[in-house]
Amino acid sequence: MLAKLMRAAFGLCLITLSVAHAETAIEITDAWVRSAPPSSKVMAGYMKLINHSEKTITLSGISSPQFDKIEVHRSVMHDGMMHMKKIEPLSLAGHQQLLLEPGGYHLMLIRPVGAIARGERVHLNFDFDNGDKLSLMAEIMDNKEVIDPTSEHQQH
Amino acid sequence: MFKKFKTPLIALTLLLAAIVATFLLQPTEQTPFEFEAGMGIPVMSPAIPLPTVTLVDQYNQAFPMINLKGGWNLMFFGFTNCPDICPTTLMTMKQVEKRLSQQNIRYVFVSLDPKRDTSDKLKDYIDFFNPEFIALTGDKNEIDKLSQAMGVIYDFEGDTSTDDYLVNHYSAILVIDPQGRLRAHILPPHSVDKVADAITKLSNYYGN
Repeated sequence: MLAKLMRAAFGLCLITLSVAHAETAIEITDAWVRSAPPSSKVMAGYMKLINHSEKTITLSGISSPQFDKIEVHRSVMHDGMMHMKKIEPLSLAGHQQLLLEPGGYHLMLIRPVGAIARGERVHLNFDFDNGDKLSLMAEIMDNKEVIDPTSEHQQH
Repeated sequence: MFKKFKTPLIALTLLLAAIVATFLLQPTEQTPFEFEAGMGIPVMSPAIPLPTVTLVDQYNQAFPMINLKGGWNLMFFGFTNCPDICPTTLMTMKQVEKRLSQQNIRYVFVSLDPKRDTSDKLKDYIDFFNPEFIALTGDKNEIDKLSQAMGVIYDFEGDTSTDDYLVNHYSAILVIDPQGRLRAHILPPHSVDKVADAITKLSNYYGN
């Protein structure tokens, strides 16, 4: 019983953490990290960033206890080649929504501290220049599962 | 009378035979298969033969390009330190393989970064996606010969004497036919549907 309660409490914490938007102007949803081979020195993170305020807000820092450093990059097709451009700084205009997705904007998670496997979570900390501090857990997945309303996932 | 015409008749027959033989023996390229405009799947006609190149696979065994003959192949060039595009594309290829497991298709990953991508590294990398996939590295000159012939352009960004550099690269999936020739480019973005549909249509049309 106690274990069950603890699990529920833990689950609640995770839900709160994965939808990081309390009193902040910035909201981050749908964060996930692409699973990678155990020897990988880089991984990619994806999510949706929403600026609920009127003002432009700039990301001033991202970190994770599980990685050496994190940068924002964008995969861009240029002269027939896929380039990775470092986006620095990343700014969100008032009411802008920015989708970080495969083949586009993404977080480049550099040098994992330990092995990171499917099913685990990556703890991400975001600092914005308006003072917003967001902390969330991004699940490690092979692919972002598209929620199909007809699938049994919904019926649980 | 008959004798008089014998020599020209033989000559004419030989000439006709020669013309027919030329038509039959010439590898005439059939009407190229065309995907709907906007699909981003240009088909090569005629197909471009792979150069005579020998790379090294994830088991540290020599891998000549003729090994790709006798079946259709999906080939992708990249590097294992690539965070976004390469895992995304290999994950798509993994799902395509699941869907088309009945078809005899090879899935080939070629590293453009042989300095860091050793056979061992590639083994670990490709096993994560599908151990049945072929992962190739090797001598940079050999890789360049192959990538150039296939139109796969790339360059290094950052200091290659350190470990912190990236490889900008062409990111189409290449379709290699059973004769060992580049038959089509499947341009990104790559959905499972798009890649599975392309290889299925091409192999149905051109046969094995």
